[in-house]
Amino acid sequence: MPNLRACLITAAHARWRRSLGAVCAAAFLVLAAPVATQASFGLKSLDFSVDSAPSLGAEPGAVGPPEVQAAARPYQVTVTFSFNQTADSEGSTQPDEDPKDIQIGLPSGFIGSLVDIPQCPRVSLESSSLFEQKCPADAQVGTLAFDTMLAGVPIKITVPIFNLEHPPGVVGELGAFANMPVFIGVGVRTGGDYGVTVSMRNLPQVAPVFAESLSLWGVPADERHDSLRGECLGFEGVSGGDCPSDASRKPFLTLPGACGKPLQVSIRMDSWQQPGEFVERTAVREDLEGKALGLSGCGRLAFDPAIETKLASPTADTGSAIAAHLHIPQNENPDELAGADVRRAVVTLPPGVSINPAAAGWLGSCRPEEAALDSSARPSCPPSSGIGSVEIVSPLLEGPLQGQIYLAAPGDNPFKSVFAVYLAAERDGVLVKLAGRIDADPDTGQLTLVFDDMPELSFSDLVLNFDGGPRSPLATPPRCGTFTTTTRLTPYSTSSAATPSSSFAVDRGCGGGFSPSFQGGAASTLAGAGTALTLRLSRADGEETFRSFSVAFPPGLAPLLGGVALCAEAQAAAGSCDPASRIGSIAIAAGAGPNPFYFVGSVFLTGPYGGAPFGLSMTIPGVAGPFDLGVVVVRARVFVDPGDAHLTIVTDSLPRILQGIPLRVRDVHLVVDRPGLFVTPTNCDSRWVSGVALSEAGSTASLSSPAPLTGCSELPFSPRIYASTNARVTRTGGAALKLVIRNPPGEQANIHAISIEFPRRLSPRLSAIQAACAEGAFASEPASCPPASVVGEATVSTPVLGTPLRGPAYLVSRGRDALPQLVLVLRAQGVVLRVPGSLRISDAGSIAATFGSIPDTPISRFALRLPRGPHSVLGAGFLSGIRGSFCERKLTMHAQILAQNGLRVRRSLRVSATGCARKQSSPK
Amino acid sequence: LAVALVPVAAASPAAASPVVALKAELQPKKLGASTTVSLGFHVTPGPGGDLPSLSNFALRLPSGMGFAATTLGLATCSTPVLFTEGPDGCPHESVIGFGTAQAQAAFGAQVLHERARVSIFMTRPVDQHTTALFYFDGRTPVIAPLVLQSEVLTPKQSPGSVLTTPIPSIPTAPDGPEITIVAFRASIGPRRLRYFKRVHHRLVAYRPEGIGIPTVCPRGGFVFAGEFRFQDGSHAAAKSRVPCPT
Repeated sequence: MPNLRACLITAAHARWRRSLGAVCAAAFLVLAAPVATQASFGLKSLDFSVDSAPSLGAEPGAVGPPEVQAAARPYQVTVTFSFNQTADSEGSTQPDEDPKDIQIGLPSGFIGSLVDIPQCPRVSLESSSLFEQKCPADAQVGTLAFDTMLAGVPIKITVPIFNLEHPPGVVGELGAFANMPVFIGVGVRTGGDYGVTVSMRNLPQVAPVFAESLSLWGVPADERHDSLRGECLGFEGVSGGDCPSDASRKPFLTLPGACGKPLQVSIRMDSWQQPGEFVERTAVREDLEGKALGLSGCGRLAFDPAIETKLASPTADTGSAIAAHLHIPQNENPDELAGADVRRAVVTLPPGVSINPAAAGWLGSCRPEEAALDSSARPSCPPSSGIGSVEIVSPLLEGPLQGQIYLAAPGDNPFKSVFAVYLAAERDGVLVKLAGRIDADPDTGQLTLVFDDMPELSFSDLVLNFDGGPRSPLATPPRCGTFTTTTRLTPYSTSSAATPSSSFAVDRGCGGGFSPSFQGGAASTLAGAGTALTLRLSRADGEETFRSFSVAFPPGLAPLLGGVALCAEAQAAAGSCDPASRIGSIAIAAGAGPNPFYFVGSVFLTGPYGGAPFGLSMTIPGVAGPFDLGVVVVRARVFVDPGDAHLTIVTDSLPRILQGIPLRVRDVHLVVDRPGLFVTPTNCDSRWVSGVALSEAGSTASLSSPAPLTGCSELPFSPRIYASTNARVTRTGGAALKLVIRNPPGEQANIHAISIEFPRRLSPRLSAIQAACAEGAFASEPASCPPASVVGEATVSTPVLGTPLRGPAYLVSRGRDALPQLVLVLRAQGVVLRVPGSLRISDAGSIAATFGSIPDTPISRFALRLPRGPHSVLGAGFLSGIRGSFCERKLTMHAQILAQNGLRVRRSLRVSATGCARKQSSPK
Repeated sequence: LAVALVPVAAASPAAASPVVALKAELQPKKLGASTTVSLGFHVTPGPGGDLPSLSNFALRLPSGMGFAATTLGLATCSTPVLFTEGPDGCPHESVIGFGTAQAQAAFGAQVLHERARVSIFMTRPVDQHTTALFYFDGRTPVIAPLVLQSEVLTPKQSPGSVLTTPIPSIPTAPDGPEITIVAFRASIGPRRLRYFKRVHHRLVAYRPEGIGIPTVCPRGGFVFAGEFRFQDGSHAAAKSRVPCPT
């Protein structure tokens, strides 16, 4: 067996040329062939030390006591490990197997920054030999020692570790030449604790390795490493002399800024014999007594963060890019402590900056498995979930990490919250992924970003750029002013938080005010035709937001409710009305910017609500992009005017904020399109849809929209009228009269006025007039009128309601101003109509009654019954005794019916008497 | 038939007091004969004034004329009967005369002019005074029956009998105007009357004895006088002279 040790030593001392070294290496390789029987591959020992600088005058290679100061630049960090060994057949020990890949995980928070450390070209390392290291000494950052056996002789070989020029895409690469180049990759444990891991891959099998010791220098250019630098380091250890570095003193290693917890190192490795079968082991740094030794002195760490928030467009109530720049000053002085790192960041955006619902139209979300927070894989979030970019500047890297901000899937994220984001930024093989919770104040929508347990990965700058433009996920405050972002930043070093803040101004688009545009009315302009009904209320960006509105439709635009099943109150309140009660749809546009998001829902007709005979339950699924904010139910009262039966819709408060998202409602578009539900008026007089909108700020705005109508004059009008009385009449009981008017269904003009002149023999009684209800009492509550003032009853059949309108006919005094009125108080389904009929004295001296303001609604039958009785309004003028009969008397009355379109029908009616005996035909 | 119409301005100091014209008539007009006395008045508002409601009218017959010697009103009727049954409910022999009346109520611009036939009935004496009932049968434009009670008084200072007729308030609708009588004409006496008596188990119609005309006509004729009071406190007086028969 050749004496390779002698060969190597000789070569080293004689500065042999490379060719000779190659010969030695060949022999080395031959000798390295494994001869031991395989046992259990693994680590026999693992030690980890972080040492301070030795005292002046110490022996070369000596170190000081353990470094315990947090965030300090250690003198040297050493990981020493030995492999399991087994005695071979010849009785000598051999490592169980030959290590292939070794990954050394440095403690979390441990920083190794190769930035500004001189580098060695890779080719220089590859062309080196044990005897001639071709990398510049300035690039040396530590040493690699290993115990091996040469020709049966144990030997410890120590070689320098250099900072290599590394290809793009990796953090850094170290290398050593131990007869073969050994490359040591530097990476970050993405998906884990983001600590630094150094990895030796495909270690050469040139000799049995019993133990290795990896030492890295805290400040490579420190003069105290001169004795182990460059030529001063022989492969058997210190060769003597000083080999100073020309490089500037830059910190390479920085200890974590957290105190208390022990520093732990881990090793994960496999062997050439069993590649891929990794064994792992951890070790903590211990003191001389074997106790875990952590770091202390956190109170000495500086922590002076700053925040800056900027708006790309300082315009009120619009989507805008918003940048939040968190700056953590770093101390690059190798002789001083590094700054503290952020453990928890809470950033509260200014009041008024809120999630912009307008973004929901295009927004997607990222599921946890796509974010892959717990793995080293790149996130595969859908592009639609990207809501901005992130940039992280770390001393670990020469340039910033750049990446995306993704919207996390609501409810399906690490926080189970509605709002959360993932940050994913990458550079040079370092991939940082981070989840942050977003709390949206349920009342104000103010946003707070919370990043808990940020990795102990030093960074100097964290910039979150939320996208702007029409798809901006954030909206600016609705008003101008100065707005302040506040923070609460807690470092790893202490529980005390820093609270920097930053303000920006919003000084454009401060319009405010409240002048919404409005359109409303029937979709059809043809008189007497079926139509849909629309309402559209819009406001511009910057205007005050809607709170509620009320809209009154012109008389005659009547819903035919007879065929609609009314939604019960419980279902209406819960937003679970049956489709049978659906009458239309509603779209509510929400969000700032030119492309608001439309929430679309259904409109259901309900029974009585809020004192109104009918109501609306506008049920809007709050599904916006990835968000399901539940079902929003907006209620409205539907009043029917007791005079002209026009409809008034009065909404409750519109939804202002949903789960912390201020809706900034821009547009409310209501369409009632149930077929056959609405019929247009038959009176073409100029009419308007009018109303009032109320803003959240308390402003009011009048709403007005013309409701043009044509074709009224072409509508026919052919009502039929009948009148009858009871034959029997008495002095005390008076006489009866029944009047029936039928207006054939179909496209007919509606009745506008009915005028009847009582027969001279069937006149009103003074006693009834005297018992009329006082005007004031009637106005306040007809039911308070004396019973004697009820002189009859009326029934009006209309398709507008499911049941006929019925009610009493009151004789109501008008004082000295006019003859009393005959007022019909009609009720059905909560609708109350008051139809006044004025009394007058006709030219013929008789009393005539005119119902001059009958609502412009289809009336298929109108019946007025003035019965006999003690309060009968009518009496027989011919009576001179107790009783009498109309059977032999001819009663004639005049009636005139005026249509809504101006057509007039006059009739002279024979009042038939009921109850008369049939005339017997005389026998021939 | 000679008729004298003498309107007398109201004694009330109010300039707007109404003016009443009284008209009297005798038929036949023959001294010492039984006659039918017709008395009528017409109320008009004073210049620029409104027409207040008439609350009382007293018609004084000339001296020597009264109901004492008549056979008018051999039976009586009552107010309830009149209201419930009408004139047909009263005995023929309670009817002592007929007439007409006109009342009105102003509802703003519209004035309700009610015309009524009047039937006059004898009723039970009130305080031992002969008492008559005026039944107003208003039918057009509203059915408005009204009964006024009139006592026949003979004051010591007064030369003749006086028919005093208080008129109650006649309301219309609540807070509405009251109905006021603006014209009234009544004929009391046998003219147009037919009473019946049973003779040998048969009903025989006959004319009752009317009011007797004195046998001597005072100079200037028979003077009828009327005093009228209104609800607003004003009053008016009127006279009507029936010339002596020639």
